[in-house]
Amino acid sequence: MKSPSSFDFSFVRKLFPGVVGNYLAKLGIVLNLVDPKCGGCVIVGVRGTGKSLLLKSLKTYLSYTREKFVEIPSHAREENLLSGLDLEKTLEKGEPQYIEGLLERARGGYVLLDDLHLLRDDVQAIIFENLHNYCLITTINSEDGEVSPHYLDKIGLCAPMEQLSDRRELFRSSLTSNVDSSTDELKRRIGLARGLIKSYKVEHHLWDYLTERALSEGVRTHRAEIFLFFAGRALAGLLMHKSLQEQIFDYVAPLVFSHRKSQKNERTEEHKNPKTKKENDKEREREDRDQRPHQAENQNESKRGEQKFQGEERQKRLGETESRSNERPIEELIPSSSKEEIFRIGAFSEIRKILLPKNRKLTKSAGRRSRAKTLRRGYKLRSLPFAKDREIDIYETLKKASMYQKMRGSGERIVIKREDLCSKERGGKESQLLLFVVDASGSQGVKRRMEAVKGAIFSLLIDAYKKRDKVALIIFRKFGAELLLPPTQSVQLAHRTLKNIITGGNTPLSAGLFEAYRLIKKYHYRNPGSKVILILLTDGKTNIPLKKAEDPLKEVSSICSTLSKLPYVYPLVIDTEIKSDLLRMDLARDIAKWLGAKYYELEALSGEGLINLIRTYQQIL
Amino acid sequence: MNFPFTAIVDQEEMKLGLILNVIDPSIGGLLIMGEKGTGKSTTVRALAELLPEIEVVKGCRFNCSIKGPFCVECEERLNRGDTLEIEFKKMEVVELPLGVTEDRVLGTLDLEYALTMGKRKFEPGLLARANQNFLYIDEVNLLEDHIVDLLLDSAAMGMNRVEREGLSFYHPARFILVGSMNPEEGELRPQFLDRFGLCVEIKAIVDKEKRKEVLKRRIQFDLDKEGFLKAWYDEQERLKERILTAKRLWHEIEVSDEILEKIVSLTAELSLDGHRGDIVLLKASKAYASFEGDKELKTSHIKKILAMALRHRLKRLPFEDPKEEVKKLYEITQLL
Repeated sequence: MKSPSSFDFSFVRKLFPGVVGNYLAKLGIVLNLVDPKCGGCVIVGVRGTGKSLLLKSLKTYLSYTREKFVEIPSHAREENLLSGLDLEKTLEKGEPQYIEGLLERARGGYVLLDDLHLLRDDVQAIIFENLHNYCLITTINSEDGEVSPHYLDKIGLCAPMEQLSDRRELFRSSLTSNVDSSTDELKRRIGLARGLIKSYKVEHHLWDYLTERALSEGVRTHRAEIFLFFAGRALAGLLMHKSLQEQIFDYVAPLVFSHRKSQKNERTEEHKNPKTKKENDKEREREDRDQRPHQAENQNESKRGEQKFQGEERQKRLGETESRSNERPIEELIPSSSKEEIFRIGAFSEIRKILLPKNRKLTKSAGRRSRAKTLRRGYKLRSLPFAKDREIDIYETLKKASMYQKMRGSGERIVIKREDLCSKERGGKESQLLLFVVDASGSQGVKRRMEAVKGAIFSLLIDAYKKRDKVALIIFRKFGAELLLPPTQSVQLAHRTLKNIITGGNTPLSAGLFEAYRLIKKYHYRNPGSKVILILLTDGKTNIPLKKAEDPLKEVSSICSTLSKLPYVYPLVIDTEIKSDLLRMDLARDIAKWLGAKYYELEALSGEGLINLIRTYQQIL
Repeated sequence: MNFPFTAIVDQEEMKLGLILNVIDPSIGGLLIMGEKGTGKSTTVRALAELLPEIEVVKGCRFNCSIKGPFCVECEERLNRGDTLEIEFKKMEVVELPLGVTEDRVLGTLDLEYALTMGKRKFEPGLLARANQNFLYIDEVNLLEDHIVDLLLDSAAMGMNRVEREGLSFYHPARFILVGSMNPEEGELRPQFLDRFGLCVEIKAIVDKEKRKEVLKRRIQFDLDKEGFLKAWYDEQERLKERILTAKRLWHEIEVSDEILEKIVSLTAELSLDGHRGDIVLLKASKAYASFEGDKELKTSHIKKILAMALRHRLKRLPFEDPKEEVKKLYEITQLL
C-alpha cells in the first residue's frame, strides 16, 4: 500500500537505535522533546518489550544533551517527591536541613517514570497534580496494574510497545553502545524543529479539521484535539516542513486518540450501525457452534470494516480511498521487508481494552469496616519503636527525649538521639470486596441463581453507602469468564450492567475461578490489607477446561488450592444444584472443601437468605 | 497565568454555579459532576484569577481576614494590643489531592521549630491555605472517608480546630468548596453530597462549532498568553465588576412572602430531607437576582437555580434510573 504523501520518515528509523522497532513509541517521546506541550507520553506494553530500555535510551539522550530531567523510582513516596525536612540530617546537625523534592527539581524539565501503575495512589495523585510543571514520560505494564483513565487523559500521547518476535534481535540491540552519531543527529534535528514550530501560522480550516477529527474518533475529552495540535506541529517541525499541513495530523492521531476512546464509545458506535451488530451476533453464534477461539480477531475485523464505513466520507474529502487513515502513518514508518517490525493496528484497540476496560472503576481501599494497618493514613493507633519505613511520631519522640534533657546538658536546644525516635501506627478502616463468581451456564435453575445474585448485589450496594464495601461480579458461561461488574460502589453502574445478563451455554468453571484469581491478585496489590469475600455460586458441574484436553474438574481443584492459599480471601460456596434431582452429584461440596470454604445450599436459603448469610459472614470477619 | 474565565466556551451552568458562590460564599460550594477533559479545574482556576485580591492580616500564616474571625496567633496579637495591618494576596485555588494525609489537611506540629527551639508550634495545613480561597477536590468521590469527615467538620464550622500531639490550635477555615466527580466511578456519601450547596452536571461539547472555538482559544492562549489575555481584558474587567456589584448588593434583594411560599411548596413537593435545600435555593436565587441586576427575587430566578440547588438532594430509590430524577425536577419547574 503506497501512501500518496511524500513525507520522509526515514529519520524515525534512526531514533534510539538501542531499542529495536517500536517507532511509534519512539516518535511519541521525540515529539515531546521537540515540544513539551505535547503533554508527555505513556508507553504501554507487556513485560519484556523493552519499555524500560527505551526510557534508559531517553535518559542517555537527556544526559548527553544536558537537558533537565529527573527519574522517579516506582517505589517513590510522598516525601521523596515534595520538598521537606531531612530529619536524619537535621538531628545530626542540630539545625534544619531540607531536601529538595524530586518534582521540585523536575520543574520545566522531563520526568522519567518507569512503571507508573506500581506507584501508590497517593503518590500518583501528587504526580498528576503537578503535571503542568514538567513533561512526564512514563510506562505502564498492562499485566500487573491499572491507572485511572482520569489520569491517562491528562497525558498527551500514548503508544504501545510491541512484542518482538525475534528475541535475539532485542538482545543484540541492548548490547549496542548508547551514544553515537545518531544522538548528535537527533539533537540537531530537535533543535531545528524547536525553532521551526514557532514560525508556523495556523490556517482557519485547520481548526475545523482538528475538531472534526476528534468528533469522528468519538472522543469526548477536549484534551484530544489540543494535544493533537501540538503533536502534529512538533512532527511537522521534525520533518522540517515550512508550514503546517493537515495531513501531518493523521500521523500523530493514533498517539492522541488511543487512550482517550472508551469502550463505551465503541459500543455506541456499534449500535449506530445495526447491520454490523447483526453481523457480529451472527459471528458469535457461529463461533459457539464451531468452538473456535478466534472471537477477538473476528470482532476486530468487523469493527474495522465498520469504522471504514463511517470514516468514508471524510476520507473521500481528503482524496484518499485506502483503508483507515490511522493505518497510513504506520505503514509509512515501517520498512516493508522486515516482518518483525510490522506494527499491528490491533495493538491500539488492545491498549483500549487494557487501559480502559468498559465501566472501569477506580479502586481505593479506604473504607469503614475492617481495621487496617496502613502506614500513612487514618488516625493514630499507637506508638511503636522507630523503623525506617515508618512515619515518625513526633510527639512521642519529643516526650521521650524530654526526660533526658538535663542529663544531656542540652542548654537552649533540645537534644534528640536516635533512640528517642518513635513511629506511629495508624489505623484507618479498610473496605471489603464482595466478589461474586456466578455460574451463568444453561444448567438447571439458572434463572433463580441469577435473580438471587442480582438481589444480593443490589441490597449489598445499598449498604455500601454506609460501609464503603465494593462489589464485583464475574460470570462464566459458554467458553469463558467475564468480569461483568468490576469492583464498584456505584449503584448507578451496577444498575446499568446487571439489567440484562445473558445466560446459557456450557460451564467453564475453571475460567471463572481463574478470572477471580486474577482480579483478586490485582485488587489486593492496589489495596493491600483489604479483604476479599469470594462468593461462588455453582452446581460444580464443570465441563469446559481452560487448557485443551485437561480434565476440567482437576483444573478446578488446582485453581481452588491456589486460591485457598491467599490469606486475605474468605470463600463461600453456594451450591445451586437441585437436590431432589436423581442425578445429583454434590460436586460443589468438593469444591468448597478444596477452597476451604463455608458451604451452603441455595435451596436451603429462602428469599433474603443469601443476603443475610453474606451479611452475617461479613460481620464475623 | 491562567486561561481567562470569560474565554471559556459554553458550560454556562458550571460558570454560574461558581459565580454565585463567590457572590454569597455561604451558599456552600459547588459539586461538578461530569466527564474528564471538560475544563472543570481550568474554570475554577480562571475564576480565582479574575477575582480581586483578598485582604488578609499581614504576616498571618492562616490567611485571616482583616475583619475576623481570627486565628489563635492573631488573637494573641490583638490581646497584646498590637494593631493588625492589611496585606493583599492573590486568590488561590488550593487543591486537595487524593491520598492526602490528615497532617497535610489540618496542619501539624512544626517539626523544625520543635527540634531547634524545643517548643511546640503549629504548622499550617491545606485548610489554612484555603482560608478565603477556593478548595478544589478533584474526584471527590474517591477521597478517603476520614479526610471527608475532617473537611465536613471544618466546612460546617468555618473553623479548623486541632487537638492532637499535645497541640491545641484553631484558625478560621472559610473556603469555597469545589468538588468534581464522575458518578460512574463511585458514589459520594449522602452527607457529603448534601453539604455541597450547588451541584451541576457537565458534559463534553459535541457541537462542532463550539468545540472548535474551545480548541482555537486554548491553542491561541498556549501560543501567546499575554496577547490573549490582553484581547480578553475588557471582557474580564466587565465580569469582575458585575460580580463585585452583585456581591455588594445581594442582601438587599427583596423577597416577598409569596416567593418564599413557592420555594417551600416546591421542596415539600419533592419531600427533601432537612432544610438545607430550601435555604440554598433561596440564597442562590438571591445571588442570581443580584448578578442579573434585579432588585427583587422573581420566579424566573428560582426557575434558573432550581436544578443546581436540588438535583443532588433528591431522594433516589436505590435502583431508580438517575435520569428519572432529572425528569422529576423539570416537571416541578413547570409548576412555578
